[in-house]
Amino acid sequence: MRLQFQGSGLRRLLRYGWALYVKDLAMERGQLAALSGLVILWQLFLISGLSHEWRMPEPEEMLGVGVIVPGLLLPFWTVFSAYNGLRTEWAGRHSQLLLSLPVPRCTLLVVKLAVVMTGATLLSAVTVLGAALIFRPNPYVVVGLVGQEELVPLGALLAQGLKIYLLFWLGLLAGAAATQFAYLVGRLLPRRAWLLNALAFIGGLWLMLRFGTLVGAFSAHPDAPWPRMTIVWWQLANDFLQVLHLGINLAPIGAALIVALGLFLFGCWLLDRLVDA
Amino acid sequence: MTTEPRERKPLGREVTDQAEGAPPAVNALEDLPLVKLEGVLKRFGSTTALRGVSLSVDRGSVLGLLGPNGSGKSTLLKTLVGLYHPEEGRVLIGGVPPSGATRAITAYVPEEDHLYDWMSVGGMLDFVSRFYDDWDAVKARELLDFMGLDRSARVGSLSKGMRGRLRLILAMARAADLVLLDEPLAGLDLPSRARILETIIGEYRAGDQTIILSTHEVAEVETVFDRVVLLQEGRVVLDEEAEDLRRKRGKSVEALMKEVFA
Repeated sequence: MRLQFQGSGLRRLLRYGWALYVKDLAMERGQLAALSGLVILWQLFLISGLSHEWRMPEPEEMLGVGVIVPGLLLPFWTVFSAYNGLRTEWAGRHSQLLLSLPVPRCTLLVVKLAVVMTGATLLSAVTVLGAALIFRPNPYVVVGLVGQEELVPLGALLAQGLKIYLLFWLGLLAGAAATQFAYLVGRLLPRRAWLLNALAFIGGLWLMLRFGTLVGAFSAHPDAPWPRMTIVWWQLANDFLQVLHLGINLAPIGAALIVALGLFLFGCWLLDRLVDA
Repeated sequence: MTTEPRERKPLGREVTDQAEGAPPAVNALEDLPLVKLEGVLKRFGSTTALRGVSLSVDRGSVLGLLGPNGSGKSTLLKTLVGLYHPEEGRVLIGGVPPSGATRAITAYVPEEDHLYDWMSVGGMLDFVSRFYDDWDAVKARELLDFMGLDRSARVGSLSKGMRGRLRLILAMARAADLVLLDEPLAGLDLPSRARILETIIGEYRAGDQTIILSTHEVAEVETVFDRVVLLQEGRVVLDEEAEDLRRKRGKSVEALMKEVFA
């Protein structure tokens, strides 16, 4: 006679992951709806004229401020969300339910990361779509100072912005992974966990930056086969519009992401072997 | 409350021929106890919750894990699920350490309320059901009716007793081989206690299921125990068949507990 355990397999894992993802997204929906509303309110405030009391913004300025301010806050939200996603499970004792499920514990962390990044992407999309609908920018954007202006097609700017956003998104992902790792390290101590949280988070970010810088030094060699990303940008110089091709070395970014992956896997190991529910 | 003597049957879904494409059978368990702990030590900071606990539990039995508050009952059950990681010793479920595979055959009802307030009762059942092959939707519906729970009610709006009932349904709607119940009656009103006890006894598959029930309120449940383990300050101070205990010592489990922990 043998005792029959439930099987594993990719399909089963995806089913578990989906159930957890739907549950986690439902937990975040209120916060995401509130933040999306705040972004739209901010953009409406800029265009309403109320903001003109302190400064009269140009349309391009409004567009920039309407998109960049929420964008600058996004990394902070990502870190908060990654931390809070795990904290609420432990604070509400739901960790006892989640960790008693027949799910590889790494799946729980993957799903939490997926939910954080879904939220970040959704908030980014709301910011850009809100700006497009509220500010209704011209198809050409003025580049340069007053009296020395040139027009650049908005579509071309957006295409480059998308490339920069991709790098930004990967940075958010790495930050969220470091935050999860820091939270799990903090769970190892019964007291002063916040101190360990902070140290692990700073240490994780330092490792990413340090490793990225080191790989960057190696990749400076002209024969190094590291991939590069080219960003096209425009600027005025001596009354002429110059098109700049800025080469971004992807090697340091890749190296930092490898460190983030390492932190994530270490976090999975901690959750599986050392962290109590 | 009395229970009929149970017929002993071998535990587990018997697998004679491994069907093609079927999930792997992890172990051959003919000679193994379902649960085995060897010298398990668990500390929380400077507090030692379990001090070298060794224990084995056979298939198809009901074990009463008894002891006062803080004796290590909950810690022991959580260690079996893999929610706590012991510093020393070994925990084996069906011959393997706690893992996703062992959790798939284990139904655990914690003492603490681990439910999501924002979910509906039905949503909670649906969520948990997705993770288990042994989930029985018909049984879940029957238990909901029996426990007097409304599927559409928000978990956050339920009373403590109703939440206790829901936690039990989440475990008993499954045909799990191992059921771990941590203080399922603690702090509940009389009607809830009666319903919960009735469910535990009614749903128990004699000889086919192993139950470990921890409690410090023995009177209502002592007749269901096949075996009794008394824990005190993280140590096993008594481990005996319930029937032997009554016959040899001429005492009820409750009376013995009072004597030991006096």
